Amino acid sequence: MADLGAISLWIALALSSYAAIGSFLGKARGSVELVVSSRRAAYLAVLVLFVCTLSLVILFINRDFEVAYVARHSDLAMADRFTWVAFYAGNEGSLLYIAFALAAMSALAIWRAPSNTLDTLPYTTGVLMVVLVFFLAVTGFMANPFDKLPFVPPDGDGINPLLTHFGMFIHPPMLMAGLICASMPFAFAMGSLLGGKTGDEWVDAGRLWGIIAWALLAAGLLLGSWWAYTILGWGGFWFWDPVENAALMPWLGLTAFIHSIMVQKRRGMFRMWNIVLVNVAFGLALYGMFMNRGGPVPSVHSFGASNLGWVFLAFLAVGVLIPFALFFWRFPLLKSAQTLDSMLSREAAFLVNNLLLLGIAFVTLWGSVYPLISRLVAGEEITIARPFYDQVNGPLFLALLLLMGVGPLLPWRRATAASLKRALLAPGSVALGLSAALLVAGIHQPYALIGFGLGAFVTTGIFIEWWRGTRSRHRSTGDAYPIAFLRLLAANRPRYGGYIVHLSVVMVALGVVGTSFFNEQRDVVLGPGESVQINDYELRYVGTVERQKSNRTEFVSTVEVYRDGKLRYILQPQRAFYPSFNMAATRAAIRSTPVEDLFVVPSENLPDGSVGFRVLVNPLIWWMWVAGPVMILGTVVALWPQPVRTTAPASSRVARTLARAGGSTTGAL
Amino acid sequence: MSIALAISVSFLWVGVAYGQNPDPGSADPRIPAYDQEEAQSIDGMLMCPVCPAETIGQAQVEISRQMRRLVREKLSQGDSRQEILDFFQDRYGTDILAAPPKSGVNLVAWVVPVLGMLGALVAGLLVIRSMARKGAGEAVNETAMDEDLAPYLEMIDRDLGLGDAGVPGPPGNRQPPDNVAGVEPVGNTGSELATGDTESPEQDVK
Repeated sequence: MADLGAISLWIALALSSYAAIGSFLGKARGSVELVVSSRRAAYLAVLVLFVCTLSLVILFINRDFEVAYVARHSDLAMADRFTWVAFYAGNEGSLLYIAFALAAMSALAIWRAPSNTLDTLPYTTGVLMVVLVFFLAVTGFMANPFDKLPFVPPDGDGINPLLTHFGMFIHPPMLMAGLICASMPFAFAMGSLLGGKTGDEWVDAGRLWGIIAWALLAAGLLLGSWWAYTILGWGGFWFWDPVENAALMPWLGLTAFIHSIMVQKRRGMFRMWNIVLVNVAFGLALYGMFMNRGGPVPSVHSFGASNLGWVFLAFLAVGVLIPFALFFWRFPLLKSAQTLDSMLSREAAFLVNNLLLLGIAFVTLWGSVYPLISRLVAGEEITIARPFYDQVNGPLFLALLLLMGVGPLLPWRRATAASLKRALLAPGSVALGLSAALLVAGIHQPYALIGFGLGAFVTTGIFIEWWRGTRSRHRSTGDAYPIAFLRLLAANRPRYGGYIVHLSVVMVALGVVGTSFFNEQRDVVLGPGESVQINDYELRYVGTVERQKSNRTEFVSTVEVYRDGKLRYILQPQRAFYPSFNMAATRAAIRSTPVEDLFVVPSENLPDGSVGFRVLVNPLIWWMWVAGPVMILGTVVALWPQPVRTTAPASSRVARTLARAGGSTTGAL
Repeated sequence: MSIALAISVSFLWVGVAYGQNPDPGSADPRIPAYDQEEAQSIDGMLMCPVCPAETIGQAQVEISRQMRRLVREKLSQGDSRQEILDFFQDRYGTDILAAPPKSGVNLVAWVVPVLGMLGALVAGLLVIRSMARKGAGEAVNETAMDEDLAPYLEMIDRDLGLGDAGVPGPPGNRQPPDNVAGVEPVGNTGSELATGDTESPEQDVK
């Protein structure tokens, strides 16, 4: 099985190399056969990589410890369902996963490419295959998951206990898929540049794949936060860890991109800017993978130190420099079809939004890189962690929130002072009124006041527009209100899907503001029968039961929660010690409501039976986790294909098929 | 407006629930009184020396527990936040601080992103303004509104309860005006509507 896996890995490498070279060469020489056969090679690579992936899964299920990777990341005690997690527990497996995801998404992107990109599709294919070749080569030569040990150990090392959590089933694959998915819009943009197109042809495909990558990353980030919240045992969800940052930056770049690409789609503007943005997003995604896999900075994510760093760095350099060189080469083609009419327009708002997003990404990058610079240049060892990001990025995020409220209220092209006033009046007064009311009610933290005010501003703006649209639809068509609302959403999915996503961002903001400014924390050591008071909860520690499991000792503590003198519920937080990793993993007990979470986690078990607890009341954090599904809903709405309404040429489908079958004849010749 | 009211009430309710921040007090019986919030805030400013990228507020290892205790003891002895941070900095070096001090050569860490951001904003606004100027000059011949759209625009503005129909700018010129029926998506301004917010499918170039 290990041999099958290894062989299929090499076959996939050969296929993708052929597809990369064949696509470029075929396009350059005008050879339709070569282009078509390259494309088939790209499709075939998916199949071969599937076999390869499957062999590693089977090796894990059989616990074939002769394979070094299996021995290092699993043991006999591991439940079979954790195979899924063990698969990407180290560099070798995650690289294979990334390659497989890339191959599958590339095939899908090539197969479903919009007809207006068919001409440059060979270039797009070529670019995608170059990226795939890189990942496969690194996997094959430097981190081969099928390498064998010279002996067969009786048992493996076991899976990292931090990974045995439900969130880990989804968070890493989502994030890795999101990062690699950033190659798709990039490849379409590069295809368009290489083919010497004027710039708008790649927009639809770029937007589609940009949004998919964005949503995958967003879901991955949220799931990661949730994992940190429930398992890391300190009660927070985000701490500006270098690897978190590395995943956040491409997300910020993609957020900028999917906004700015709309301007090009609608108005034919920002052509150069979008190319720059998609390059930046791709570069940041490569950087994210570099940090994740063999990064030089210490992090909770460094599951395996490795020597992959310099290869990734080299590819990163190539992946940033060549696209920018291409960009300057094709610069004259990228003139805007339109000009900006006014500073008070949605286009201008999008530009400012882009600046803010890139600014946050820059601050984050700076924070990750500066300690290195400081060490090399000033000889000063420093750390840049959460307090820095909170202070510098905090205000930028608030500004972004403001823009998220204003942008959608501005019309394209030009707003008049009167229309602007009309649009901003209601949301603005709600926001100001709310902030004033909160001030009177006793909240004095300026950031919290601004944050809540802006949240209300965005929400009111969206709801008012939904309300007006629904009412107008109700009046003109006679639909009942709920139906009118749904039809309104259906009639303009990109826009209203975007609004749903905006609402989910407000929810995240609620959670962040709530926990940053209003959380309560107690660190206490309690003997059995003792209790602690936090806000209006009283927690009484009853006792701890010790359970021996095959690979760990679990300490399950029982805590009774009283409110107003009455027993409300019983929580059972756990702490488990894994001797083989010399590591303790905690599982917090969380009582979650939309108002606040009560969070209890044992931090130490003392010999006399008393337990050190961390008890937290985290207001509004519930909204963060609800934001995830809402965001996905919004994304699905935004991406759901519009029904074809005009008399689209019936020939288009035929032309598509023909063009695909015959390769891109027009461009090739 | 009722929606707006409902939203603000719900936000307000949340706010009131957290308006009062209760007591500083001692949680660890072994140490006399200290400001608990201050202690937790200091926990977030010191890195755990042995764990990767975690503050002592997060890390669950013995040394960070000891450091937390030390922070509390010093607080209860009346040390200020700065004194405590200085103490740890002297002992472990500057990299024990979760963010570099805003002084000396370390000021670079703080100043560069702020200046960079300001520079980018100024440059961005200048670019937008120059683009807008150029646009305003060239757009003159485009601004005539499509006559056919006027009645629709008026109708929609009436529906939206906006008094002055026809004020908004000209329709975008990439849109055919064939989709302006009353059931089209309703934006907040007339021009939004006039263009329809959806792209008509691209014509096949083949």
